Amino acid sequence: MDQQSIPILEGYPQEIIRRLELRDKRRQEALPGTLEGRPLQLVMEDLLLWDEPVLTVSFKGGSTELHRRIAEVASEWTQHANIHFDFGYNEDTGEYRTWVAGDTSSIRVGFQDPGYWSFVGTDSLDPEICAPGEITLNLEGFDRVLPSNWKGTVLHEFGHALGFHHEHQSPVSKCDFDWDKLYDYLAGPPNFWSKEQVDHNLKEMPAGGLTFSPYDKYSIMHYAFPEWMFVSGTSSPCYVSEQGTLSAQDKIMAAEAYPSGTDQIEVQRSAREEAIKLLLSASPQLQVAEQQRLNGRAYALAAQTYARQSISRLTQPDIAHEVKRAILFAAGQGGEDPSNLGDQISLGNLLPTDYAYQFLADLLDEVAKRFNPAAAVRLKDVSGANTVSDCIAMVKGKL
Amino acid sequence: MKQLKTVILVAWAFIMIEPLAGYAQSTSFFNRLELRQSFGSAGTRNAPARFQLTIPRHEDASYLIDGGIGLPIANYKLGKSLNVEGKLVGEYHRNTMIDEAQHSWQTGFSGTIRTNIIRNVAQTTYKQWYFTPTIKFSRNLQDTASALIFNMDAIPFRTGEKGINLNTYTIRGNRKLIHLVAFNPGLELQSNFAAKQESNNGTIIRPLVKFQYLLAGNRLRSPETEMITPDKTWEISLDYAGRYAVVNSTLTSEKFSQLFKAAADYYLLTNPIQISFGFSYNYGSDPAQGLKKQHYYLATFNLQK
Repeated sequence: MDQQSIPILEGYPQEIIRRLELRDKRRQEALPGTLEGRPLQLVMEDLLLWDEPVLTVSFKGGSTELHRRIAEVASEWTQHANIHFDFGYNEDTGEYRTWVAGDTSSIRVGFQDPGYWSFVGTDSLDPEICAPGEITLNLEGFDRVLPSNWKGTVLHEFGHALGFHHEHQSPVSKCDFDWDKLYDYLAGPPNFWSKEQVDHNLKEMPAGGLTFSPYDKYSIMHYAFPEWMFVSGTSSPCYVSEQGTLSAQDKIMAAEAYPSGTDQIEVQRSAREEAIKLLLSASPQLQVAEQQRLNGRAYALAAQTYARQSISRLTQPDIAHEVKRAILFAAGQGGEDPSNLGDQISLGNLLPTDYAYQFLADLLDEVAKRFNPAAAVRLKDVSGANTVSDCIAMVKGKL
Repeated sequence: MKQLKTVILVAWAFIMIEPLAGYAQSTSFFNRLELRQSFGSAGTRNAPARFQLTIPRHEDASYLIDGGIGLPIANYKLGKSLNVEGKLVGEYHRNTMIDEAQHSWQTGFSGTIRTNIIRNVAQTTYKQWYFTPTIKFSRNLQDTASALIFNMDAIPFRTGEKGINLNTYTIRGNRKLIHLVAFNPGLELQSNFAAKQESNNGTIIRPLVKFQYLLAGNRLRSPETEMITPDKTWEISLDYAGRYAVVNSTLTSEKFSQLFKAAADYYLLTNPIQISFGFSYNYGSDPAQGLKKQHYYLATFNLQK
């Protein structure tokens, strides 16, 4: 095998795999296999999803421009999931939140460790596997040069950070990996993976402990593997070219994991609170620290009545991103990346009909009301904006 | 047939005062006024009021005026899913440039009822419906006839990451081409009275369909910035409206009437102002606007802010 045809694969470093396996082994010993008929793993997987409506993000290294790009791209998830990233944008300085020693931000982005990887969901706050201050999402070398599919990589890693696993490890993926070749070739450069790492990063996950959608090889959470890794090469059901945007199924799953409807939020919240109480009562052998963490979470859940519906700490870049997304849809270019829409583009060039203007006004009205329920955007507001930046300023002014 | 053989100048005067302004109690009367080419016409782009003048060397000068003025008077929500807007409108159409001169004015009430935005779960496709009930008193000065006209179009708006959009652009693949598709069904009810010729009095009911397709070349994006800059370089467009009089109690022979326009334009500049010149072929009639069957060519020079 030509070394150049072996890509750098995304995956956890050996040390993190070791911590995860130790934690999972201890949990298996301390906890029953099922909780009132539900597989333990299913309960634990649900707990990987966040309760908080806003996740704080900090950056260790990298330029402000890089932070801006990552923030804009990652925010695509929040168009579909009822959760938001707070990148700590400071309007006065134009800078984003930077990492500090002992940082406890929900997501701590670094560029120095090897590889691309991220903890899955709330694992990043589990002190047993990730101490405060440690990087939770790594994008090696992004601070030096952006790889060609950097947007896809950012979306993939932030998908993990939201609690989503690899699609190619879905219990229904049925990927025909050529395992002998994988163990052989991935043991060498540039990955140097042990058999344990290969299995952890590529093996199918058991169906009993996961909530999963129909297999979607176009998911952003699916790797684009080279054909040699499959027994049937390009005919493999898992062979796919590199993805750069969220698939339709990704968006559906994001909306289901972080629902918007009052009833759905309440059902999810109360079920999670109940599951934690069951966990605590069923497992007196749990470590004290973990018991305290779960207790704290149950307490927060009990106090969190519809918190996600009154999100008020959204950041300014989120607003700009959402306004641009709305403009692009009104302009018939909904598949485009909002971060590529120039601020000085004339709305008149983008919107060809009265109906496009009215649609934009209605969509921006929804956006504004998500940030401030009392805000209202009308057609006259949109028609008074000449450029994209005028439109963003208009919506911000409404808040 | 009076073709424009020697068009020296076609001037388009665009005057747009708050062209898309909605109703707002806080704004002044004049700020709320809208000027347009026509109100209640579906599928049209932001068509401003226009004045055209031709000065043939060996014939009398001729001109065209298409203007409408609107005053929004209502804007409220009907139930949970419908939004209603209404405006008082007045229109004036005079055209001496064509075979059968057009001269009419209309006044009345123009409404728009639109649904809330309808979307799929993944939020990759959005739709909206618009219904435009309009009732006008119309005076055709050419035929010396009056009419009450009710018409309503049902207009779909659609935009999505895939598929063909309606009433907004569709830009796919390598983004070198811009498409715009619009169509809608509608209904017109025209009751003529006080006509100079008694045979023109009576009622006509016309189901109709309107269709518009536009294809334009797009300036490519800057490969360095990848900024999205839809920028037309040329454009061809087809507009069609077909009406069929299913009921006609007048003594006129009106049955099937069509209005067709094929146009080509070349853009010299699109930003900060739009400058283009073009050529169009126009054929057909619009009985509700007092426009009799025409067949002519038109060369234009367009300037729009």
